[in-house]
Amino acid sequence: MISIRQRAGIDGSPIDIAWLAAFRVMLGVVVAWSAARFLIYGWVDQFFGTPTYFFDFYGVDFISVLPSPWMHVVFGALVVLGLCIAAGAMTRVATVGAFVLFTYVELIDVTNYLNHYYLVSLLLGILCFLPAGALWSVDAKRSFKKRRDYMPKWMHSLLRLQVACVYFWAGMAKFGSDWLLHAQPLNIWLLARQDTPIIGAFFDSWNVALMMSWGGFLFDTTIWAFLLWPKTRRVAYVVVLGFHITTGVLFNIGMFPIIMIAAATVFFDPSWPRQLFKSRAPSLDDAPRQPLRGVAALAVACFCAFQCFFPARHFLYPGDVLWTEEGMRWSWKVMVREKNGAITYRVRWKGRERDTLVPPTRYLTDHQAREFSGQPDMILRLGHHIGKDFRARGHKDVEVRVDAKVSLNGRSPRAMIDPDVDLMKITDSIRPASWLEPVPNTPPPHLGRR
Amino acid sequence: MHGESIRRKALAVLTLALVSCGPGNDNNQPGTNNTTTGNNGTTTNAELREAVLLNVGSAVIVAQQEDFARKAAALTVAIEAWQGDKTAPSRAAAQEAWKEAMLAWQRIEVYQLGPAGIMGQVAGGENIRDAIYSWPISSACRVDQEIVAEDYADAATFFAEERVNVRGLDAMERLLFDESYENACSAVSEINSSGSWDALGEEGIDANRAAYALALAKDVQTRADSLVDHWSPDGKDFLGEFSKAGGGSSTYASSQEALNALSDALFYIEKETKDMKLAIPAGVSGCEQDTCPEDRESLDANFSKEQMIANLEAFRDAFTGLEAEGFDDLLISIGAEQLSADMLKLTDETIAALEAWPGTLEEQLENDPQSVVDAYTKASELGTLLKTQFVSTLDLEIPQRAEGDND
Repeated sequence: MISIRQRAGIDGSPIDIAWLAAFRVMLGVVVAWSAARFLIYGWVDQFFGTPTYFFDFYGVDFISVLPSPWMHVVFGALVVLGLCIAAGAMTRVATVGAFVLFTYVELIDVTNYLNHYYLVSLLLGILCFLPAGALWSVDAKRSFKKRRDYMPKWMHSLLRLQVACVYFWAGMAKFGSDWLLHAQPLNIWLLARQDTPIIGAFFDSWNVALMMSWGGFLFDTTIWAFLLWPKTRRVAYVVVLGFHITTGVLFNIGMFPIIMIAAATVFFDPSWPRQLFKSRAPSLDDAPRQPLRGVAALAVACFCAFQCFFPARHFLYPGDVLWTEEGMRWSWKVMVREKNGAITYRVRWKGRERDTLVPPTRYLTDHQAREFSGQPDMILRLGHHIGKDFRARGHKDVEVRVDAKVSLNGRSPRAMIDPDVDLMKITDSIRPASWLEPVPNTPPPHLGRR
Repeated sequence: MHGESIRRKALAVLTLALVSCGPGNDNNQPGTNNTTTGNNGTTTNAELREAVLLNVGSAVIVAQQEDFARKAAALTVAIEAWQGDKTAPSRAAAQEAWKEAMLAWQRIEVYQLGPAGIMGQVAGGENIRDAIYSWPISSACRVDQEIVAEDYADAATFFAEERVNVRGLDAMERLLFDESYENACSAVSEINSSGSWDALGEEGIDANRAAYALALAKDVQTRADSLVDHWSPDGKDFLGEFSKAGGGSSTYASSQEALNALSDALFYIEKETKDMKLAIPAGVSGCEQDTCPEDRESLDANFSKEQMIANLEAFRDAFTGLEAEGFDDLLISIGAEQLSADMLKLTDETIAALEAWPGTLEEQLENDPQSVVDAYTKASELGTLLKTQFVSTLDLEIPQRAEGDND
């Protein structure tokens, strides 16, 4: 009987390091290509140069955008660092550098938050502590001392847990009536993709959307287990390929499918790259054991606990997370809602008898306005900013209220925030927001053919 | 035995997941048992989307462009007559012709997709709109400066070099409707400090206004014809690009992209009609006084109310597709009848709120500002539906210049 300690490799048992070398190459290419896309498509200017206001992340509001042309330099550096990681040149330095810069870029503006960017940051963060440059790398070629064919198994387990958490919680995010009973928002999205070759002809059927909703839910919640189990691993990876390629073709999700297809290889046998290229796996008989203990064990345990439980924090908040957004970020709630809002602020000050209406586009780019319109904490923050702006113009006793009409998964628009609440009197916090209106109690529509 | 059972169950789950990636099954032929009814009879939903694009493109957009081209030609004739005799009746006739042309244009204003749109921001954009109507960057002072400079006499150079705010229907409005002999520039402006404006005299100002207006009318007529030619199947056939989206169009990769382009254009009634033409003069937004009549769209002709109504009617035409397929059919075909009805109702109510004004926008702001706020409120309700449930239900993106990834 193998204990969990042995199975996870906490006892320090060695495994082939080949998987990590392959993973490093893939992650490096992903980082380089992701950063290059920002430069090629002009997104650096659009997302970091054009906006005059940025939405800070809670707790890290000291992070700010760099002036031109330094953001371009950051993205250029990310391309170089990604390529260094892929080549295994100064691997540790490049990985730490890429982790810091990638995470910095991600934390500048909440409207740019994407779950897959968060995943890349986490993978880079983990890679900082692994011997990623020990095989098939420039570093290993330059210095024989750095070359290694083995590594502790617990490091492999750590990455497996990370990727499994992404799938599992992405699946659990779908565990709700909108997704499983009403097939929303997939029903809406598929209806708009009817000119997809061959399969698009079926996308006007609500039943197809329902079947695909369940398929997506079952895939996300279980695929990590099938990938872990050697007997189902090959078939499961074919399913992974099919799933991510299909979603990549159907939806505008950028690098996400590529990242997940690469990340899922952590479930393979550690020697999979050698098996692929038909080279012999090294003998691990003389490899030393490197048990996980002390501060490292504590740190890894804390990290694992965080990844396992933090995505579930929305259960601590009242209401539906899709409506309140409390516990939405950093939780792998990937593509689970179609939400659009019409936001207008109402500002009043001493001596002004009626409200002045302020559209958010006066402060935000179109992209920011689109992203923020369904997220109460961001609406609150912009409200504070508008209030401060009016104060700075010399107005006294400024009050800011908001009409935030939001449609969730095709429902009729409803007020998301109490229109009578003065936002200037609300402090942003992680406590449940009392200023939100209740979740709509009507079900979303069933659209298309039945 | 137990292992076999688990294997079977696992395979069943995996098969379900694989199937869920898309019903790409050879036995399922497209179009079988997959019908919805548009205005022209029974079609598949995919065919209905194509029909919407073709109908809105031809029966609404192209038809209104052709109407504008005819009225632009009539405007040229009317201004020629005015330039010829300089009489008040000729000027009044030219003003009427301008109003006719402007009403036709205000419908096309709402369809800023394809060649009419801004190059680099709109797919297929050729900047034609700005050359015909540059509001809100129109500049009365710049027009007055050109009256003195007479650069329009060399039309080829003038239209190649000058910015859009000294040409088009907005510049023409000032030339036709400003009957005073004052100019809109400050005292330190060269035309005032040098005395060149005064030196023209009243007759000179009138003569130059008419000559300048005629040059502009001819240019607008050329641009109107060019716009028709860009869309015409006998010309550059942008209609083909639009209606065959996803099926050979090099501009739009899918019918969804083309529908999104049309939807982006229709947001004109939210961003321009509601937020700029109504909200700012009404004093509800971007105005620190009670009202800001000086910020209305039509300052000289006082035609703002009619122009806003034309915007909304154009929105309704594209939404309904007139007698054939439009967004309403698309919504009804997927079961969103209520949303379709609500949007039409709010469009009609907003138009009715504007039509109920007895006077011009300027007069309403003076006599009954609440009526302007009421019209704004109605337009807001329509805008809310447009920005939320409408784009959600059809999975359209609200207009945004920056595209990025998603997850």
